[in-house]
Amino acid sequence: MKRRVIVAAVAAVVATVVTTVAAAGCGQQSQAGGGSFPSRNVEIMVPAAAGGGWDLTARSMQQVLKAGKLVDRPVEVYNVAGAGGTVGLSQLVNKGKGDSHQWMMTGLVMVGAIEQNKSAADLTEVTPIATLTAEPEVVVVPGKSRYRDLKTLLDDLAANPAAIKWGGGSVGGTDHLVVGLLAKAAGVQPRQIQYVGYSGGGEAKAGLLSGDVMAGVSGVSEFQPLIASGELRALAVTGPKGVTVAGKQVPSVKEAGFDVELMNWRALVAAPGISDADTQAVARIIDRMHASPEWQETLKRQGWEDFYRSGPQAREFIAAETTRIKALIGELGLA
Amino acid sequence: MNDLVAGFGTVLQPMNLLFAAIGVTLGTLVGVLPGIGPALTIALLLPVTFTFSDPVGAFIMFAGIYYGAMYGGSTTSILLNTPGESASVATAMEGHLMARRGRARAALATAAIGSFVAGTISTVLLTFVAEPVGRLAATFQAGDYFALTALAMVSVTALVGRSTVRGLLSLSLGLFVGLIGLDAMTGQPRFTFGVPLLSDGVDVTIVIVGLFAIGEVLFCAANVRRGDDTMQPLERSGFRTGWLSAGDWRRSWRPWLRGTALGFPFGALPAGGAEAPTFLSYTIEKRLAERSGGGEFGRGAIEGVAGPEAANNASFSGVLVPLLTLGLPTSATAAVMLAAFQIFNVQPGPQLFQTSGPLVWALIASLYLGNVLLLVLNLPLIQLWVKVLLVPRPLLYAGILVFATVAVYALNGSLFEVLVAYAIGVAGYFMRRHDFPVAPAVLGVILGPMMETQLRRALVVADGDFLTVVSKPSTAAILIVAGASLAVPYLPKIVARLRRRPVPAGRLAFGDED
Amino acid sequence: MTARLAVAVALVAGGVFLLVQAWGIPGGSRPVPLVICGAWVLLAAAHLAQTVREHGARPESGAGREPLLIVAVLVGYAILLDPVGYLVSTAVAFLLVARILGSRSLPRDAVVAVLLSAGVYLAFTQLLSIRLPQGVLPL
Repeated sequence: MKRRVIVAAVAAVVATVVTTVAAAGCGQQSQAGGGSFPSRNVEIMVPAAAGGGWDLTARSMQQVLKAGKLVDRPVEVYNVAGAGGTVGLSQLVNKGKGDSHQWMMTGLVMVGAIEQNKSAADLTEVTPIATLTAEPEVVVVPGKSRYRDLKTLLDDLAANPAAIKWGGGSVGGTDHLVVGLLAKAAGVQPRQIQYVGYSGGGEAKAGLLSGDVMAGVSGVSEFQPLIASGELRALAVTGPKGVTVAGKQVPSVKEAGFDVELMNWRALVAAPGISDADTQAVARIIDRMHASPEWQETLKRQGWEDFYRSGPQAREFIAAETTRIKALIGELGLA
Repeated sequence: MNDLVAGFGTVLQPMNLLFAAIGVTLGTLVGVLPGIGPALTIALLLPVTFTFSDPVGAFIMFAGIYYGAMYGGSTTSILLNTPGESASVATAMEGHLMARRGRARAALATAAIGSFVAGTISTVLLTFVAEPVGRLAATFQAGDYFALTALAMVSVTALVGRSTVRGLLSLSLGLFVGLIGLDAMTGQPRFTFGVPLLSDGVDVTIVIVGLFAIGEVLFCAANVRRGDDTMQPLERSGFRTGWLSAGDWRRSWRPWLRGTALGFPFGALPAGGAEAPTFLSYTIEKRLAERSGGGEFGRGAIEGVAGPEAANNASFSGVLVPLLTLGLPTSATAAVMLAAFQIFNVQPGPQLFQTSGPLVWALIASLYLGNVLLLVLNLPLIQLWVKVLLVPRPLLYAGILVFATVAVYALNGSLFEVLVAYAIGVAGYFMRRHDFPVAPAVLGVILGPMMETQLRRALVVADGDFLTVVSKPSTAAILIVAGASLAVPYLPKIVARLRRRPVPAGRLAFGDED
Repeated sequence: MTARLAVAVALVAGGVFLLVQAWGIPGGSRPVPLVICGAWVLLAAAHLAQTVREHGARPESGAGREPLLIVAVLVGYAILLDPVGYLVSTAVAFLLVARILGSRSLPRDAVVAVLLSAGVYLAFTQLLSIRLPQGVLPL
């Protein structure tokens, strides 16, 4: 009886949703046709739970690929969460070998997680296709803090590393890496920093507002509303150049006098051991996706910074980041 | 006020009414399924809403999903003793006992009406005091959260059941499961035994589905052929308003209000959550019932359903306080909603009411509407849900196992986690068989990690000095309340004993008297 | 030895094992596990003492083998879910569990099993876009 109720109600809801979507989507028509590579469904693995950044990127890609008819076959997205993405990575390496239809989202976070979890599989084993987006990190202090620029903060850190309590995302994640790099630039052993890892952006913001921590690091979009309202003050961003956050010019860490640059990038990789021809076929599709107006529209709507590098450039970039982050994780005492 | 009226104007448009109805229906359905929470549903529906031209419809739908799911969780908890998420565990305890005594309709009704009352009151609070409450909540520091979790931990005294030792063993089992995974402070693996799949720890949902749904089925399986599986027929309905007798109404309304009073502030705290207030509400109702002579706790007390369910729903409007006023997402669902806000270029935070006023007021108006729809949808549905109890037992239990499995599998698509849930289910079976209460274990899994993390954060902030942490006035005050609420129920007994003869302290703590 | 006594002994043994494990955790991650596992051992010891004292006082009811059979079905289900696919493995597991629990109406159970697994499959894959294993059926 319960089943019948559920099925009936589900059917009703499906019907409604489908009608709505169909009505909303029928304005978009196709342009380009796909290549000859796909011989079956393409599967994009999100090595994290639904709702996160990787998940959103993958599902947006799925929509753009579908809307532009860039792949002849259906594109599926599925989640394999666990251990900073390394569970998904090892699944791709072990089960997907040689299959050009198996793609995976990845990013800076996974590089750290590989090291931290002593993962057997490595990001250099898979086939890099392209880096897609990147977001700079921002260093903030509460609005009533006495720190007005990065230099004063890091000078105090250098004088007494234990005096500055840092807050950010989980231990070993991008935010923690930034603090480690800043410490190094200030001449402090990364191991000595006092870092409180929070799960999720909400908690870290709460920690800054309540005064638990004195300085925070996270993605620019995460802190933007509180910077705009003056609850938080942005000291520097970790990108190559300064940016305007909430109407205020914020210098890059480099411009503030410390040689640190770190972008939280996301990339698409394919299974290891696929032929050069297939790799190029996949890369062509992603090139076309990147050039499509739908993708540009997605970037704009999500506030993602375009960080497109494909082919050998992507390979070199991922390899260089792997080397750098591995060393840093060790210096932070996490490996 | 004008803004709110304008908000209602937006929400009452036919298209938006439809979205609200879809949301509440969908939410109730996913809430009924174990493990599939509102966060997952909203995350998966998010890409669909990209095609919406107007974000209002999407948010109205999401709010409906959240409310629906919060309420829907109580249905299976009451009828089958299979709560799907942590906030429904407290409801399951007395609710299922009521169902066993043939009072399923009353239990479901007090849950539905209580959800409506709590949801509406807390939405009123959200409408008028969001700003100051948000400010106040943001001042809570790690030490205060440590004290609050300690206070919530006192609930264990109401959950231990017949034997204190077995109750506390169950609690330590839960605390242990909470330790599994990478330590949040240092990244150090603990009790992962070299299995990478364990490094994120064991999800609370897996523990609940295992201990309750799977454990319950295995336990009933042991008795099903002997006919020990007692389920009394549904009571005949006499004179009733909304399935509740006059006595039920009289016993329900105070717990609804007390539950709301607990749920809203806890939800508003950036690290409060929905579980702690449900357990606290259960504890308070049980203690109050004991004080006024007996009560029905342990046999299916309606107060034990009314209070936690109200607390559960009130916490949602509470969660919206920091989300809207400060942009702080404090639950998984709130985090997904924040992502949705940002996609539609709405920035929650101190300036939200200025920059996106109409949208926010439409959202708030949709909360009132969602509550009404929830009641309208669910009161008649009660008659349908109770039919679940007529399904032949073998099919019902087999069906529960199928749903439990797919729920765990859907979390991360991991068969390993399915096996973990089965293993926990076997543990739940043995606990039931040998008279260990299962609720303390759930409390341990939820509160243990919170307590440890907050304490260690507070210690980092205080340069490792425990005295600095506990001597902060607000922290000390909460800890004193926690200590008092731990001692008060035992005071008469202790005094009586001291008068007659001195008793070794350990005897009292580890005795079988309770 | 009764089942109840065996459980009590197993709890003590398990607690000691975990306490030893906790001792091996380095640094700041260690104190809380030590406290929790230590409390477990103390409580388990108290429980064991209680069980021995009450030995024979409380009657113990024997359990049938249904729980064991169901666990066996479940483990098989989890292992076969991926290679065989959701629809087939779920329908079979449902049938087996219903049968273990005493259902003797095979045609009815089969209809319910197929409808249930198909309904769940459609709801999850189509409505919630959660992937379930396809397995042997060409879908």
